Amino acid sequence: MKKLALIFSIILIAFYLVLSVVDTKGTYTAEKSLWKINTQLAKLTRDPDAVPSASFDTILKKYDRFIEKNPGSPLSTLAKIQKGQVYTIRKDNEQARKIFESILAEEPKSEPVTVLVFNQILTTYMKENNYAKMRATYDRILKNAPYTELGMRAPLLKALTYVMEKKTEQQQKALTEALTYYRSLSEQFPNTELDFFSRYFTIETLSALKRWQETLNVLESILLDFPDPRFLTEQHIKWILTRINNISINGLKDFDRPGVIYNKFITKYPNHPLNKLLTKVIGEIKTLEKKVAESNKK
Amino acid sequence: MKKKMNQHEGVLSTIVNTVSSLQRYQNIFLPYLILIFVQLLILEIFYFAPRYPLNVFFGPLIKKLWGESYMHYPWNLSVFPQLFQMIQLPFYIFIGSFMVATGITVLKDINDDKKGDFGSAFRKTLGSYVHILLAACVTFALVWLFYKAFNLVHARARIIGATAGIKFYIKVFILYGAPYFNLFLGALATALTGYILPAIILDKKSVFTAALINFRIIFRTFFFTLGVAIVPYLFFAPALLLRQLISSRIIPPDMTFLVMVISVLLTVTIDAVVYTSLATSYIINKERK
Repeated sequence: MKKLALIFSIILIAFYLVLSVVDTKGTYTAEKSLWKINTQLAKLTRDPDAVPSASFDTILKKYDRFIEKNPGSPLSTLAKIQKGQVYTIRKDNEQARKIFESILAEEPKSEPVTVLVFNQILTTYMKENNYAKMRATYDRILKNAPYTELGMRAPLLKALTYVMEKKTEQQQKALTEALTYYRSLSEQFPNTELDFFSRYFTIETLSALKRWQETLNVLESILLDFPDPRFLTEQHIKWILTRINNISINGLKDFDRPGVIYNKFITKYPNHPLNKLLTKVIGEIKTLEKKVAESNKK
Repeated sequence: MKKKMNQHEGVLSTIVNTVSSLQRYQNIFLPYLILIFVQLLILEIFYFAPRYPLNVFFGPLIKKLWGESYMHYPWNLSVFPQLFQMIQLPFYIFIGSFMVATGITVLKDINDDKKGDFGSAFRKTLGSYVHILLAACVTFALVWLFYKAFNLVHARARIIGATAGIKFYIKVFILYGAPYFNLFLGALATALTGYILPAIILDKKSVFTAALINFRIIFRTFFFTLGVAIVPYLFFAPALLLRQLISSRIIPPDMTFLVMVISVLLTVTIDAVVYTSLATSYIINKERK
């Protein structure tokens, strides 16, 4: 039996070694290496001010070696982004941006990578409170990745940078421009996912402008025009109903408007699974209205 | 091997005697060695499944079941134990139980002063394959029932809202002790069905008769049988602790493979001790009559 145990052990070890060696130049090995470097970086970032500069230099050298060993791999791009983040953590935003810009200059680049890099650039400007540069970056995002989530948010976020600078007039102007942009997207791509999210951001922009009636109108349209569960996810339903109820009841003191909207939906889609919840909400609003009326009488 | 054991031989002495028997008559352990080899081979295959060249076959399966991210490090390390767990049931029913039965046949041959050759034991056991299969299904059914019952308790414990006091401690005990409860329940199921295979192999009974004999013996020797099943399984507790340390990220995920190897070695060795002890106890009971 000892002989058999030895034979089995040899087979298992040989199998393990062969399979380990066959894929040394594959993605898996590179992923493992990058993961280890990132784990070491994560430990340093717990308290970056307490970490000596030499530790960051060591990590940077590891990233450089990784990039050299894996040229052209998507993981190299990720390693470069991590390198840039190291400089951001060290508060060397200029150097960080050089690295991020070099990634953007490379071809080919994917949209997710572009968004990731732009986010990093925005972070560096945010740390410097450089809102003008942030706005310029948002303009670049609109040009390079307009239909990504960040691209869709860009006009609104650009307008909100004026809030940080307390420039009310410019903020209002930017919000109006954002509103025009989102409405044009809805017209360009009607009844698509892009239209849904354009209306979503239209609602956010109108809310920032405190144009409540128009906000309600768009909320109504988004509910009535996008009954598909792909759009009416649990998260979106919660958001839409909460906004309708808050704006109508707390903002406009109109207890009837939500019921009107929800009844329109129920009439238009009599078999929709959302109807049960909408009926419940209508009932709760009526109860709330009675309570408010009673407390006002007192 | 024809050792007339003391009528009042306890749990620990039974286990110690079994271990020394396994060391002396290594052929009894041979079927378990084959089980270890096959399981470790399967473990290696699943460990390397996301990597070339095995990803050609396993890639689509992993992507379909868990998604693309589980083809990449380190998430693949959470997938391969699940893949391995998925095949444990069919493996135990179709192969594992048969090898355990072969080990009992070897034990019987040695007890009858025969050579205890693996090859002849294998051929002798093959005739009872269907009954062995059914016996494995009975054990699995019992394990499944116990796990279902515990899952109900676990689900109830999860919704306990207390953050202090006795209810809180009960909650923590059940939630954190879940792996150890499952270990105990597995050992309990083994104890409750532990004499079915010996009855099938040693007395050539059908699975139904063997089950009756099994429950008759357990009725008489419940605590002894439970002790023989549970004590060896206590040695598995460190492997469970290591698994918990990995899932809490105290130990790096790279250790998952090593922990799984240790788990396989421990599980099969413990099974060898438990089933050999129960089979030996069955033989002694039979000889006493």
